[in-house]
Amino acid sequence: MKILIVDDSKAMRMIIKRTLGQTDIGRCDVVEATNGAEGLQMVVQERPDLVLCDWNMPEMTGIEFLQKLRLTDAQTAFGFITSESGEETRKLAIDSGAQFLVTKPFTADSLNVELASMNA
Amino acid sequence: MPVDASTMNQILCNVFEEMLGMSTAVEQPSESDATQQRLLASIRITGAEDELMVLEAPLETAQRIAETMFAADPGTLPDEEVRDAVGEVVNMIGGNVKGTYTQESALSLPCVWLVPGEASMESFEFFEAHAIHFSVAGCPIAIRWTEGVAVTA
Repeated sequence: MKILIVDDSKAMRMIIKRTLGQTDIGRCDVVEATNGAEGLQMVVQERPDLVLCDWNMPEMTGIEFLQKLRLTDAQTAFGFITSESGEETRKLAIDSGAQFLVTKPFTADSLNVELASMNA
Repeated sequence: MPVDASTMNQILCNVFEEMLGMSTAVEQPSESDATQQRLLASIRITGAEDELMVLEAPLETAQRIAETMFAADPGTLPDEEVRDAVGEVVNMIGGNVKGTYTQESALSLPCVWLVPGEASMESFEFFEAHAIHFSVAGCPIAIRWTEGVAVTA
């Protein structure tokens, strides 16, 4: 499985990568991008199975990235890992084509629940 | 309306203890806090609610947090990664505070800057609306928050 992590914080990308290793997802290849614009390019280049994306980022936000992605790609699984946590935000994410939204701070357990529901 | 201290305490616990595995304890501010070089990380919520939060971490504390986030050996991280880590912490705090609001609001990107040791937090007196001084893995740190104010250089 190939996973694209999109987050402007290098520290958070590191934490997500480390936490993925503690979930049941098994072995995966991880590629990274620092904002939505870069993420769009990486989806084309790397063809990930899953995108894990922050919401607030410079240049292109996570929701803008998702909405642009869904114009041409309805297949790639997409989940937000973000400090945004309101119901409106969650609804916008799902309505725009995300499979889930995990709120930071998160744990391996909370991420695992969402990853498992995606595979169910 | 600014978030209450109990909610802020819970958010700090979630960030540092549950996610990063770093113990926290509420502390009294110490005299030495005001003379150390430190990082300030701010984030703002605007909209129906307007709130400004500033995390104040002595450099040593900031490095400790960053080393935990990056799983790095002590003293090996460049300044840029320490700033990145502290910015992400205040981003999580701000996002969780925003999540307590029922009305629409927006979260800024975090801003992190280094304050020289000779500067004191008296320059930031307007943040005194609410403050929690605490320790993270035994290192001092503080969070200050208030309803939004205009910040000028």
